[in-house]
Amino acid sequence: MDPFWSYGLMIAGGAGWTLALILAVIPVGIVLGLLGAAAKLSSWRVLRLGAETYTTFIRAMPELLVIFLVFFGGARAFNWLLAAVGFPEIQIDFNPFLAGVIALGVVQGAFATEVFRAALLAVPAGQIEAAQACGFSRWQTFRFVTLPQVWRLALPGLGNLLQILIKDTALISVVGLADIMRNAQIASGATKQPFTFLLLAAAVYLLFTTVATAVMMLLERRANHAWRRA
Amino acid sequence: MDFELIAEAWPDLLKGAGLTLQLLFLPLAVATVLSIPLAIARSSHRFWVRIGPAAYTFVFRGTPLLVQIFLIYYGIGQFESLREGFLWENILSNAYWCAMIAFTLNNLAYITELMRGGIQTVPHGEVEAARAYGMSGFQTYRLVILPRMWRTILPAYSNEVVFSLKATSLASVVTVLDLTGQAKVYYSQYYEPYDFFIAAGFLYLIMVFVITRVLKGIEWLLGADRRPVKHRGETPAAADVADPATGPAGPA
Amino acid sequence: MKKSLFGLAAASIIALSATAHAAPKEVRIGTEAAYAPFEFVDPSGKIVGFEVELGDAICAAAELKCVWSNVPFDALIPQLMEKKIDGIMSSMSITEKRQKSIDFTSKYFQVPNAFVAKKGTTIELTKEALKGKKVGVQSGTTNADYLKKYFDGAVEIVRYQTQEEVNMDLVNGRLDAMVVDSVIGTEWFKTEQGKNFALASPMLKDPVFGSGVGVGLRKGDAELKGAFEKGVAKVLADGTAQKLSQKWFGVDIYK
Repeated sequence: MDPFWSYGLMIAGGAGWTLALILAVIPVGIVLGLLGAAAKLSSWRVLRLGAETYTTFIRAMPELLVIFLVFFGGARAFNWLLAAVGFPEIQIDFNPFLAGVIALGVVQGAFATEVFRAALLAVPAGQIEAAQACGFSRWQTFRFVTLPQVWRLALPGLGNLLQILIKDTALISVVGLADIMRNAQIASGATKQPFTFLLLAAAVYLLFTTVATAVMMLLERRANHAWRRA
Repeated sequence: MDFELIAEAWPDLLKGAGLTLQLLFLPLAVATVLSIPLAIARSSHRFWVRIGPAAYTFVFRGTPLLVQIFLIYYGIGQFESLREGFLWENILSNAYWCAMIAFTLNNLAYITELMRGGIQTVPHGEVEAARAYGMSGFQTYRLVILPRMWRTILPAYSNEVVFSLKATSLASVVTVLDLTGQAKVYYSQYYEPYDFFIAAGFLYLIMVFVITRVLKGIEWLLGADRRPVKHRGETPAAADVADPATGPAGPA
Repeated sequence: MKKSLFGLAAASIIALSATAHAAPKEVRIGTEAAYAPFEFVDPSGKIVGFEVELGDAICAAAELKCVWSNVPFDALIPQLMEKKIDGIMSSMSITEKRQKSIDFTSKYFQVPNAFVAKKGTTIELTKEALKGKKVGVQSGTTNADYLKKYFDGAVEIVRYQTQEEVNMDLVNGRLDAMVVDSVIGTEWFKTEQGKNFALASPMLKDPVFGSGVGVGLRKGDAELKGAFEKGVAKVLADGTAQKLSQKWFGVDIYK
């Protein structure tokens, strides 16, 4: 096969890893974000302080540095932690993929914390008061009044985060995941056409971000459906 | 943590931090200046004026910065005609300047979109009023639209500066010994994953803190006329979220 | 019914572990596959190369089942220490510095290192002659240690993540020279990219380069070390290594 096509196919194959990474990070980011937002709005000082430290540090750190820390130091920290709680026999295999999920998940979580916090605060206080006046408990108020609205209010912010995430996945290539970017580098090194293959990689990423934008627009339209009718 | 190791690396880490700041401010300044005409063109009503900048921001905001840096650093090697002459000798042969170019182009795309948003929020009535006073198009932009735009975009602009600072760490993958690059070199000599990366992270934290404080100060100064009536703004992140006031409350 | 199902499951687990014992033990070998022709990724995504085939032969001789994983060079030793991999075969030289952290088997090959530059260049190995020159090396290698030890302050040492990137930048003209395994060099000169380059210095002799390439192992992993020693000795004695060298390099690097 012509090297252009064989390396082109290799880059396309890397898109599978990129997609898998994106899909694995999204739930981690959302869960961390919800926990972080809950902690920031909690009445316990310790929780607020912890969440504040988390978001301040992570949002100031370059993603690449977080990736290095997790990839090079994550296993040692985790194994030490597992041994400390009494499971020395468990060994976690910190391959580039897992390191990527953890590093990018932690980064996404810090930003998602801010998005969810703002969304929770954006639910009008009058609605909460009304719910309580109707005899709703705190949990019921949260479950039936606040939560359904948080999704709608948080969507635009989450859309931004998704764009950032897609582009950040390219950084995992630096620690060796055979994603789009890493394969484009291999092709660049093996042929005399670095520009061609890197441009191809750029095109694949552009496809990813464009599709993500379309999906988010669709979700936003659906989430706002009821509001437009009213 | 081994503080002796950190002490050994510290001078180099500081040197790296200095390079990081250069990689932040020079591209940022150039991009900010170039963004103004580009944003004006981007918000034009004429399709053919708008399409160029729109395509530019679409491509540069839709692809990873890492790809852009690699394209500029390794990609141009594919064109032998570029590998000689003045441009190569003085600029492209140098990793530092390649990173500068990549950061400038990347910042340009983001700041242009930011400014476009700012320009579009200027109420149309103000523009009409300026015209009614006999201001030329240039005067309208200089005296009415751009000052208002600045005040609108400043919180988002500060966010952009912080993102840009963190993005400079990518220069390390094309051999520039910025703060991240220095930490990486020490890591590969001692295989100590925590000491150097955490020390570097600490320095980034300080830089972010100082920069956001300064920009908050500027924001405060620019908002002088609005202060008595307006509460201090929410954190910029809140601006990303849809305005709750637009959602109709009450039963449908 | 339930009981018999449980019994079946238990039986199959026992059977599984029994077969696991009978079959050769699985050993995870880390390599940085960006070092053609020793180890590199082919277009189909497979890790191939001289050292990979030699490594497989060593494992077969040692009755081990080896699986290869691609790890950045400067992450190999930490990953070994953290038990993410069990062995290193990545043209990693046995040096005193590395022996502080890990163990090595006896060497399975040794190639000298040298400067590489544009054809027709001769590099004089003095600080004065190299002053202001840009010399590229892969980060974390003995080549980097060598430059730092003898030419720090005189030459500008440019460190790259992979050897591929050093090659690319030498071609691009951003570097005046690079320090590299001489075999990597001579193989690279045969390619379209490297045809205008040649060895530019005598072979470098220095303790910094260590005493050949061995399998990197965790300290105290005596069982694995014993097996690998046996494997290395066998492939060197029965001519497998020499044959592979002929196949990949066209010369016998063991002479």
